[in-house]
Amino acid sequence: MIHPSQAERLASACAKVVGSARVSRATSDRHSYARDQWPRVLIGMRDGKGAPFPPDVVAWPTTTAEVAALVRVARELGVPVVPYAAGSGVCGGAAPIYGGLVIDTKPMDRILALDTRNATVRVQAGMNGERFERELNRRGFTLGHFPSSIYCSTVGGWLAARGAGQMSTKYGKIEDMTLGLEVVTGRGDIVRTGVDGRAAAGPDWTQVFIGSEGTLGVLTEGTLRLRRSPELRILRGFELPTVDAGMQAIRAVMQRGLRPAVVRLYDPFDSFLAMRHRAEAAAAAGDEGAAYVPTPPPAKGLAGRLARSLASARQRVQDTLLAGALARPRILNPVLDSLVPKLARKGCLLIVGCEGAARRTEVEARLTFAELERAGGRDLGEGPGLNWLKKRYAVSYRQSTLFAAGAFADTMEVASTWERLPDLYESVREAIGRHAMVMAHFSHAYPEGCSIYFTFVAHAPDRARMERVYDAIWSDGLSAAARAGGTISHHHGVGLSKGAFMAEEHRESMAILRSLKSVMDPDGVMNPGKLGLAAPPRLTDVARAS
Amino acid sequence: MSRHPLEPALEAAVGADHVLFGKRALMQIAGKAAGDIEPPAPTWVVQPASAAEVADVLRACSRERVMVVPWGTGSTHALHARDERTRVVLDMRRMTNVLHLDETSLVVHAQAGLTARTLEELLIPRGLTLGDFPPAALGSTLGGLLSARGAGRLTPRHGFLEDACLGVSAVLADGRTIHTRVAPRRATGPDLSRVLMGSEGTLGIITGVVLRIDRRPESRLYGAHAFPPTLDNPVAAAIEAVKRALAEDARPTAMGVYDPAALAAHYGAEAVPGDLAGGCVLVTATAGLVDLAAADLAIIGDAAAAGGAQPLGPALAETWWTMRARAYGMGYAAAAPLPPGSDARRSALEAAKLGGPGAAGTLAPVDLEVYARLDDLPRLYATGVAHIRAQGAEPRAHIGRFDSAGGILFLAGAPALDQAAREKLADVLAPLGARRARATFGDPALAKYLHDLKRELDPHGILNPDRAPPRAEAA
Ligand SMILES: Cc1cc2nc3c(=O)[nH]c(=O)nc-3n(C[C@H](O)[C@H](O)[C@H](O)COP(=O)(O)OP(=O)(O)OC[C@H]3O[C@@H](n4cnc5c(N)ncnc54)[C@H](O)[C@@H]3O)c2cc1C
Repeated sequence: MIHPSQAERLASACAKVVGSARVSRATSDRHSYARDQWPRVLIGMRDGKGAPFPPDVVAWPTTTAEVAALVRVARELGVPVVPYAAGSGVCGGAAPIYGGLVIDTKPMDRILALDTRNATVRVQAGMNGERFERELNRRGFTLGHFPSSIYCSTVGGWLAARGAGQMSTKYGKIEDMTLGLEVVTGRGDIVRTGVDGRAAAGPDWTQVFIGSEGTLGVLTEGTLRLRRSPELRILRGFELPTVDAGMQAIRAVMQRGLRPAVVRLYDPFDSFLAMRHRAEAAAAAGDEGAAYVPTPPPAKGLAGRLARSLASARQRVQDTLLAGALARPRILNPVLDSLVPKLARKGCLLIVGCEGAARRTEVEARLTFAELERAGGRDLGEGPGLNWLKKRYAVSYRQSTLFAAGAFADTMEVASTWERLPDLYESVREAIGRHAMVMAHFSHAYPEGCSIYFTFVAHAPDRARMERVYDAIWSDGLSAAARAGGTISHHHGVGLSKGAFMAEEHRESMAILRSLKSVMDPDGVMNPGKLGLAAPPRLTDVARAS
Repeated sequence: MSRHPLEPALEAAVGADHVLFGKRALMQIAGKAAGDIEPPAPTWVVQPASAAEVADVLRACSRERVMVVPWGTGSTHALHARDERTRVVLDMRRMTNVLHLDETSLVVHAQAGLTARTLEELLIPRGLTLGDFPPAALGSTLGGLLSARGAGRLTPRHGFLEDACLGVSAVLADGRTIHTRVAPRRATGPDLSRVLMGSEGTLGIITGVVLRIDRRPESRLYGAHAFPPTLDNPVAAAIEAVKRALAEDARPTAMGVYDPAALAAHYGAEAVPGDLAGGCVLVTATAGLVDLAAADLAIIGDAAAAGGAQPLGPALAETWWTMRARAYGMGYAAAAPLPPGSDARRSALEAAKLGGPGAAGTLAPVDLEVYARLDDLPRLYATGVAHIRAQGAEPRAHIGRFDSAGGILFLAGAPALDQAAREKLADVLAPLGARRARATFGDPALAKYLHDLKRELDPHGILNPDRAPPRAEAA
């Protein structure tokens, strides 16, 4: 929080830029922008705590020039600027931890130019992901970027956090499809990267701003490469005997030059849940709503109850046995390990799908499936694949049940080269498993490696202890990832929650990041305290005082 | 002459045997390319063997405010002093170790002084390769290639060498050593290795690179199609076919569009199909799993047919592929896909007989190459050819190195254009969308940021100052 008189000055200066209707100091607005989807904050919210980091002023600019003017205003007054898009980030990246000015990018929500001949698009940063994709589809194109949060995130948020969609194995991550950016730097300049294709000298500025999470400037526009809408999509489920066999199968596919769009390998417990969801969906076939809010089937035993608690959005879990079990993860995880395969009598589920122009896709799918069979996979038909497709955006929205039940859930997405992947999987799983029930799936595959997506659920009797458990999971999990030679984040970004681990992630290379920061944002006003970059001392003092 | 205070420090860093002085040193490392003149100021050639030694050298130079110019094998600018500043030429060619070859992940970590060709020679017998269609500048060091942007523009399949780079090690001006960590992708802030890549040694000295590599393909297939002169605009039809095939997801290893004069100049008069005057040829190579390579070839063939082309059979494309590869000194790689179950070592040796590095095969010279978007290429071709003819030379042109967005137009005249004529030609083409390498530092507005970044990372301006962004631009 900044001083009230300072806030007053800030608001009136902003009003001169965007008009008073597009500036607010109202409590309701400030509280709406006081957090993102970082689960640690949600734990407190459930306890009735208010949103923790309200900004002092919110502004809704509609043009790049306005954004630049707002940044200059904030810079003159020496107050923090936090770019805030849809707030779906899960690392506290958009939380205005030192107050100041929130620039909401969502009013900048238009496609500026769709070049159908060259299959490129210029789009404003605040455009909603699902609306953007729908608009492209209407014109016969796709971006190929499908994060689970597509309904509640923006193009700018994807770029700012280096996001990945579920079909990144074919289409690439957002950084792979970006040709250029328009950025308002922390100095208030408007710059364009990637103009004139690839300049022959100097840093690749596009790749410098992508992933900068609002710490170097505000991204106002992106030029992205498109693909034709797929003519054909072929999905399949395979069962692999073990996680290791699954990893090797995916590696074989990728290193043979095959590029399926979807590759998801679930470890035994995650497979168990995925299979169960499939059964539910089959039971509720044709009922769209049911796909999003499945009815739990009667489940027996501890694992069944756990599965139900994750799957059901209807049932309040007030099962003390469950809570008790979640509180003893060191006992729970081994039990699940041995129980789940027996219960399910299954190995690991692998969902794979190819899509694109018809002729090549047919060949690619045939070769991919053959490779998986050669690697020991058993073809389960298209059912599991279709079911995944149908519910691919739904799974992520089930968290509230768990929170309501007094537990919490979160996800950790790490990545490494294949050589290190088995170790990465075991170490991170073990580290999280000390504190929480943990499962994982492997998705976003590359010829040289893969990402692992851990989901964990834990419980503690009160908020303070819950937060302690939460912090311990992240601390142990990320340290384990760094030790195993993996990256601490494949696509969620760093924000606030992983900031302390940036030193372990980049080591001496942090010097380059710090230099970029002081060049792009010499006064340190841009999203201070994020990405492991310290806030300027002045701001730290303010925060301590408040 | 009393010893310069720097010299003992340099010797302590790399050993006296690896510190050379003056004109003799320059001639020793670069021969005639160094120019037979005494440098105007004290100049050492220093030959480090490790990142740690580079760090020691930079610390010493930083202390003495002596400029440091990295030198691989490629450009000679490093060797020619532009002013009277004392300088150290950092000869990277002792840094040629492969530090780790990870055949599980298909990733190699090598010192920056290794040339792409030497690395490829190490990979080939193991059934591996830098890419099925290797970069033209194979003789350059990896560090040199990655210090410039857009080096080794390859194909729709492989992208640029920088796209295959997963991380770099570098030493900053003050001797701090940096290793950007390796992961297939990450979301932990800006891509820091992309700051060092492309900066031509002005922000840090790249000492090591981590590159994604490939397995050698199991098959390679060839196709050629003639776009006859009876078509409205044969070159436009050929480019349209390329575009259509790429939109259909084809991932060929390489494609080329040649007019008859270029075909004859590069591959001999007998390579030119009859009745092609005024038309052009599209040649294609696809590779990988046989079925996939065949699908790619069929997609391209159909796209060509839809544009009015006639199939010519694979022979011409095979000649094109093989001669190009030999000219780049990659005879064995080019000639030998690696069918499943075959003995990589033996096939490499056999193929080497066909033409290893330095074997026969040279391509015709090119006077000007420009990069342009697919849509702009036909007009650039027509304008370029007409312009050369108007100068009284017989024009020839081909288009290649396609990526999903554009390609490179190669133009030449017989007799060859002189420097002035090349510049003139470039000026004529620029307004039509032609771009030349080394054109810009990006958006002019970004120049001041690059300038300031340089000041942050290299406060005394010792690193390759000739290549630093000019101050005027940085206003
Ligand atoms: C249910 C759920 C599922 C998810 N699934 C995925 C997934 O599949 N893949 C994935 O990658 N992520 C996923 N996420 C995470 C999140 O959606 C992404 O990080 C997303 O990219 C954030 O976009 P946003 O528009 O909501 O940005 P915000 O959360 O508003 O902002 C994210 C960060 O970027 C900065 N920022 C935002 N816009 C700009 C801008 N224009 N200029 C500069 N900085 C800016 C903010 O300051 C903040 O630091 C998921 C989140 C949820 C809640």
